[in-house]
Amino acid sequence: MQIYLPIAEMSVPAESLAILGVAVGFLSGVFGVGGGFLATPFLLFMGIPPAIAVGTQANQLIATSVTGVLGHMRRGNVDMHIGSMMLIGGMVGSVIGIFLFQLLEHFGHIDLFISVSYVLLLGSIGVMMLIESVAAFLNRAKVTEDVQSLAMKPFFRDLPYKTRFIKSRLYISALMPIGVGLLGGLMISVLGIGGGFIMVPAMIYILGMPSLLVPGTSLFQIVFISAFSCILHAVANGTVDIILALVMTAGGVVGAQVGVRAARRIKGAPARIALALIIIGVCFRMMGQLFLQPSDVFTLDVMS
Amino acid sequence: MRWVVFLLVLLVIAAPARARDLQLELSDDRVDITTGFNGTKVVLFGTANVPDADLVIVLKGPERTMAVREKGRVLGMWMNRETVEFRRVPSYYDFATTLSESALARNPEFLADNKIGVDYLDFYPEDDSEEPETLSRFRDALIRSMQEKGFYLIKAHNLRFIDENLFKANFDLPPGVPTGIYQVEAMLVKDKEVLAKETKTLQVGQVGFNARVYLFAANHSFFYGVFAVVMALVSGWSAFTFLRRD
Repeated sequence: MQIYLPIAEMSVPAESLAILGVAVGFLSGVFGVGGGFLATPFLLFMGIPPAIAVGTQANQLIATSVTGVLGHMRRGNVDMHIGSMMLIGGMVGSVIGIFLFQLLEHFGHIDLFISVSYVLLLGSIGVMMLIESVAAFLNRAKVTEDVQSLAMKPFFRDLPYKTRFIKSRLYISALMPIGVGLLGGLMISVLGIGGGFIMVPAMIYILGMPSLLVPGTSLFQIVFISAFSCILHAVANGTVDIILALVMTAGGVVGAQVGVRAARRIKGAPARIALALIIIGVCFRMMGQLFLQPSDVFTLDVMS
Repeated sequence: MRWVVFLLVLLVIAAPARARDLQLELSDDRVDITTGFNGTKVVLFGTANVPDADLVIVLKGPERTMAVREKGRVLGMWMNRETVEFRRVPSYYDFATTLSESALARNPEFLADNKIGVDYLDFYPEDDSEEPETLSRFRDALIRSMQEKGFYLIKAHNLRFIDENLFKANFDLPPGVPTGIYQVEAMLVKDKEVLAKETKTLQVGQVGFNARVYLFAANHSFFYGVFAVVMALVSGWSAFTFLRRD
């Protein structure tokens, strides 16, 4: 069954969209990831223009993060203070991201930029995750290193606007969470991913937050930044397709239900190995697009 | 249903037709794109009252500015190297004719004069300081790409007369058809001379729910954005409330 997307002004198979939604929902159910890293590339592979894929994904992210953050809030695992600092950075990052996106699109390099960023991000994270999870699977012993966070290192320790974040028990410059948030805002508005992969380690190793508070706080700021980014995409580019978002959300709800049930069986290292392989798979697919000779070296963009 | 329309069209054009050499009528002057839209057919009828004259009917979509980009290898990666922008490119182009393929091939001047066929479309580059070879390479790529999408014809359709004077033509619009005002132009041709010309317009656009979404997004983009956010918040909240994992 074909479905006509009113904003993208194109007809796409509804089944593929729903299946993609289910797959993304399943991943978020099992692993608690946003799934943007899977959704955005596959929308692109389906021939949906990058601007529509990213704009709509910003909208999609709101829904998945709200579901997640509500759970964390009920358990009290959200540091709103540090979250709102990240939020400020994220808003700035989104605005920069939207301009960057328009600039890249104008010069015809947006596909390249998205592909390269995905290959770098997914490749490095997939490989690290695979090594870590395989090691954990073989040793069955968790190696925890007590590393000093970047915020405690000399240069960063001396940054101005030192603030006490009571809940996280941190006394660091407010510029640190703002900077991390900025990175998140850029990822949402340019790549259409919430960037939990990046944000979670960044909040642990750069800010030094207690890992219990990290997922909830990350989701907390993603809700607001993706909402902000979604409105920016709608106003600046007119590229948020609610029909596309609806079909994917519907699939996502089903997928998440199955995923949550499956999560009781798949756990720990094997689950992380599977996720790492999926990430590496998407990375390879993107690499193929970058490095293999395209069937046609010419492409056509409608400018106006 | 088609035949009812057909008969109606006949009635409309048959009565006062005698006086004019060429008459043209669309079975429907708009193409409605709904949620389930998967391409459609545009049907048109007409009468031609000149014996032994040939007929050419062109269907042309709204004009756009298009950028053709050529990829090249940089550090092993394929990226866009060169871009040529063309103005006034028809977003759709197709024609049907009673002329045979060989007759068309024999008369390039006639085709050029009347801008018939993809080789004679009069779109032009934004920047005319480009090398002629580069331009023709990009122009060919544009046409090829539009043909692959099904927006430009590969070969002219055969036009058939139902009886002596009455003709009928079909054009296929693919699922991703560009929206806007289309021009249908019929030409009556004899000895490379255009005897008569008739044009009609065809509106291709979204209707119903789709049109409302499109217009809302276009005219009130901020509120559309807010609406999209609220929709996502509600679906996220309900997923949490009704599908709780514990």
